[in-house]
Amino acid sequence: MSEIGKKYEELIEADAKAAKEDTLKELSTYEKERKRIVSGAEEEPRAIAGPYSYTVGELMGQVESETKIGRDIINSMINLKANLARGGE
Amino acid sequence: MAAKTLSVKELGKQYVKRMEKPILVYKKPFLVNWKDIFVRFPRYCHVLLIAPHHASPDYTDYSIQGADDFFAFANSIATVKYLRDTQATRANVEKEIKEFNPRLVVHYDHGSANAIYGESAVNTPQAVIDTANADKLNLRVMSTVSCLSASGLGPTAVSKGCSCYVGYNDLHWIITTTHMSFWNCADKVHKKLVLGYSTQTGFDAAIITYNANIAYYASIGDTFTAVHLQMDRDRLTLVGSETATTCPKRLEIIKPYYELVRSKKIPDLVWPPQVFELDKEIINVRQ
Repeated sequence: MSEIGKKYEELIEADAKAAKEDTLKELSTYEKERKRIVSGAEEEPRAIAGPYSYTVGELMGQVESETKIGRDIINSMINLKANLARGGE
Repeated sequence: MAAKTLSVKELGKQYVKRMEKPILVYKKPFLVNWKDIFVRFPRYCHVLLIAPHHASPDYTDYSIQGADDFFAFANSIATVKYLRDTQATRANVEKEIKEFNPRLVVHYDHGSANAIYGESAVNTPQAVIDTANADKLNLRVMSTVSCLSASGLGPTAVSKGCSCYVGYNDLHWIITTTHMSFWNCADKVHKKLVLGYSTQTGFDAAIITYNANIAYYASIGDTFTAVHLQMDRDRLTLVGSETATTCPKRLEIIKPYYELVRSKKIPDLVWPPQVFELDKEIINVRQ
């Protein structure tokens, strides 16, 4: 691989790592603040789709191990931040 | 007598007056006879609503609540056949499509790339519409809140004569504590169709509602819900005709009067809409 190609790969890897860390940070902040945000809810919120069902902690595990669902969450978090940064779509 | 010629100043004043007119102009309410309303707007739209409920805990614990909410809305303005819980079998769905002949089929349950599911006699998921019987959707509009089906079954159904198929091309997520927001966004598609709007209008209304909900949940710090709403919004897919409708356009009574009329607190009062609900939403977004 050429020098430029290597540099490009490194940049992409760094971006992906930053996005993953950012997603984990956002989710852990939510987990800490959950009781304040969804006050009154007795049960812990779960994300459900088809046969899958995850709490925030379990979903952070998916992000950590970069499964398809974990990558979808990272991607969505990037889009969410980009949309909110320009004032919503 | 010669007509009075307006001076330039007067013309200018009129022009400014026209420019200053607000975008939303509401007329005063007027009295009407409810019988006239029902004669003028009969329940054209025939809707088949499919919402099974499998053994808990399951996605259908929540999706059936979304279906009930849509039924409460649609039942007052359309003719709805509701196949709920154990009634949502493949045999019943095929029978009702043939006999009830709905223009609009609405579904809330699990889905896969090539099928949408209902319930078998033993309370387990059973494909109610798949590639084998997709031709039964011929000349109908299908709107489903389920995983994946718009990626495979949607194009297959459209190739077999379905006017339009609206669904999700990947997993459809909900959050248990805020699940009603997810249904309120998704059901905009079929709510608009019941009111006589086109599939594209329903699709746009759903996207607008998703955007508003995403912004709200992000603003209160609930990123868990916002992220999942965003995934659902990006996965909502329309296959087929964008101009398909299921009934003639009806008047939408502007809120809050809509709720008052529905609950019969003002039974003979109708608020004539100058701007339909969706148009208002679009104007708000553009502003």
